[in-house]
Amino acid sequence: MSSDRSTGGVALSASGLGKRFGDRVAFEGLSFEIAYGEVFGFLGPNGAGKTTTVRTLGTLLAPTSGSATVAGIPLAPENGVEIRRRIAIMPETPGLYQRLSVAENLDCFADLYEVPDPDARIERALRAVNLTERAQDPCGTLSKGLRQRVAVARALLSEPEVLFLDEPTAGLDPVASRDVHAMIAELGRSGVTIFLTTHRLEEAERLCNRVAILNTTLRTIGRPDELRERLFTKALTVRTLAPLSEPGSVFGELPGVQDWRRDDSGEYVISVSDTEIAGPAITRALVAAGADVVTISESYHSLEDVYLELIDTDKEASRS
Amino acid sequence: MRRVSRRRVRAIVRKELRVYRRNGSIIAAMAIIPLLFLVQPLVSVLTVSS
Repeated sequence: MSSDRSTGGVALSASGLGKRFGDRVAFEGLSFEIAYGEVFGFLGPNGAGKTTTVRTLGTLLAPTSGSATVAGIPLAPENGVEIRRRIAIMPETPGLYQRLSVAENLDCFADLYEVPDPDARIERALRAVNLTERAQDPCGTLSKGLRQRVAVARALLSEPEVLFLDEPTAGLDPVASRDVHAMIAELGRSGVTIFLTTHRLEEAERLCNRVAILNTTLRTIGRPDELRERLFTKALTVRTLAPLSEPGSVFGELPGVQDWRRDDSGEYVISVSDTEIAGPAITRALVAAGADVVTISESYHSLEDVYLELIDTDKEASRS
Repeated sequence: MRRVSRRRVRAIVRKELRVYRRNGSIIAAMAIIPLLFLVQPLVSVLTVSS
């Protein structure tokens, strides 16, 4: 297993994985592979099945269809203990003992996980989340952000191969979220495979190598920039001081230009096949037409645009 | 069937004792009944002898 890890093998894989509760489908037909060391974002609206997927891959729920491997081990009831030794799950609510100090909480969980050399592990986990100086503080006196960090430290005690983080920044203020982001990025750099469920899209865009969008079924999977390219055509936005008298004759016959329109704010949005071909041609044409150009920029679609496009498509499909 | 781990049982017992020790209401609740059983017979004995 360790050779898989060092050679960038598959840390997590699912093939047609599904979970039903009676007639209700939590998720179905889930197929993906995640390499060791990857930070994988799992996005979806409330009720999409994200947490159920984590609970299934974490051996807390049995799947009703399909198969999966977790940390290189087939997901099956007889492998539950072995899988749980190699993974850690940080749920949305930290679930710490409020009257115990940070160190006592970690000490308790280190014994429950039966980790070898618990003192050294606790020390390392506290250092990883930058909480060494707060080790003796009762958890009940910590802010929500610090409690999340303690929960991450607890998850790191078993030195997991795969770390599931379920909405780690839910309910945190921007400063606390930034701290948790920095910590996740650091964990990713240290080689831990991270399965991050969230509906904060800027978080996924900033932290994840690849993302999957789930809405009961897997809607798409890929790098954020790949998804943008897959869903949206490239476009340039032109803002001029005054409207063009004949925009059709300016943009109509240019190389690389596929289509153009004027949006509500008066900017020209030009769909192009290749920005490097169309960009200079459009600039020359505007100058030749005597236009007072204020800006020419490439239209940017965020991961949020991708997400909303897919989820809106799902909503329209369910209505029709 | 897995064997019960002594280390895990010890961890839970230790955690519970720590939580009890820091929770004043649990200490008070634990003390009231024994104190009542100590004080009430004493009062009875003293009342009878007088």
